Amino acid sequence: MGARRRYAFFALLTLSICALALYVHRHRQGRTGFVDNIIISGTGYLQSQSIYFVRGAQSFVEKYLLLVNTQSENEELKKELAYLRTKLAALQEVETENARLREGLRFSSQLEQQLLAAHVIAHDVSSDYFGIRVDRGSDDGVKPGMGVISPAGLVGRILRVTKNYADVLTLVDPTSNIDAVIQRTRARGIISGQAKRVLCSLKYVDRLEDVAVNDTVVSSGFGSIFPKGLLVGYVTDVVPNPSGVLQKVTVKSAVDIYRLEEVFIVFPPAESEKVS
Amino acid sequence: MYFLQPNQKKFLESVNPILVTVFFYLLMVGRTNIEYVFPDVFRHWDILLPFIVYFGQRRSIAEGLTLSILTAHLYSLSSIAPIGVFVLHYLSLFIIARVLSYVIYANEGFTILMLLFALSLLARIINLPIASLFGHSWGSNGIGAFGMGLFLNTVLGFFIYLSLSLLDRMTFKTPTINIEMAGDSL
Repeated sequence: MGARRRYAFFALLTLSICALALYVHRHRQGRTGFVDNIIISGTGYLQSQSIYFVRGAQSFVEKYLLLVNTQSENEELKKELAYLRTKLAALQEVETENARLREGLRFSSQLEQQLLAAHVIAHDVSSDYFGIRVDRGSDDGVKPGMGVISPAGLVGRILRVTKNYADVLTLVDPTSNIDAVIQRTRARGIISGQAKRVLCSLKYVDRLEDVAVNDTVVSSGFGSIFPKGLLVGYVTDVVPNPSGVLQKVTVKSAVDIYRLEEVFIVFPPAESEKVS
Repeated sequence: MYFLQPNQKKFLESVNPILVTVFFYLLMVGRTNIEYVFPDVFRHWDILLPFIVYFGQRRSIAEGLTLSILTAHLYSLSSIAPIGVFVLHYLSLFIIARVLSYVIYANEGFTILMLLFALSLLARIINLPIASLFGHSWGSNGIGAFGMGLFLNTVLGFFIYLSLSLLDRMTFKTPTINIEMAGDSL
């Protein structure tokens, strides 16, 4: 390789590294540009449309296709039955959604903070990160950092917001840190994900604190991101550390993010006043 | 398709990168929804990997780099990962796939499967230092990522690889071949 080519190669390499650094810096903390927001909005729209198709197909498979092989009646009756079952499946879907929303409404009225209902439209595309996308965005007053909950328990925090959609960092993601307490003993710790579907760690729990398996973990309410006393999960394992300062506590999340269909975005008290 | 005029073939060839990107984009949207139906099965499936391997094998450096960065950025926008993690990760994989293209030309079933398997394994390993650059200490989440993840990336990746190859043929795209011996197998 000649000297000129070598210089050119190193110049190109330096430029590429600088471009990459600039790219990362520009997008730090989930910041997105104008074009990115358009892409996210377009993707969100497609995801919100396809999720209804996926749910419909899932409902159809569960409620009709798995049963059809067991029936040996004539074809006309089968077709009619299939049609009715499809209709029934759709109605049942509406009924269960209504029940969930009624439960959500009851749940919402119990809390002081203002809540905003949202549909989960997609999951994280990568297996290493545990995010969900919801169909509410800055147009609805959603801002990064707001809490996300469900009637089953705590879900996570808003990470990135576009006009109509928001990405949620769930509590099972290892980068998530949420203040929590053991309900029985009020021992404090930080809930952080383990990159597993429902398992989290309760970090920084003093080894002298009383923590037992099946203890309930709830949100501490510090920072007003989440309502105080909201269910986070249950302790599944405690490993005492006689020589260290902290003990290792594993918590099973009350919410399975892959089964979530509706969530509530929590508005902080100041924002709640504006909304109401 | 062979009845087309040369200028029509040229046009189809020029839109190939757009079609490849759209193909990836639609698959990605489907991938973000599939966990509602199969929550545990497809979680470790890396949808972008076969595209990057294909770009490394069958595209010029400039086109491969552009497509890799574009698809990785689109991928980032559907994830809560810090933007930059995936671009760096897939750029590294593209470079490895590109270097490997001088040694192996994946054109037949076995070589494609082996290449996808090897790069899938490598992807899980290089994920760790790249994630740590962004302040994350994990990367590969447990045995599932190595077991089911490797299987899915190899098998489903194989079909995506073949689909891309078919798309190239349909759009009269001439793949870049680096290995000299490849001429004999074609």
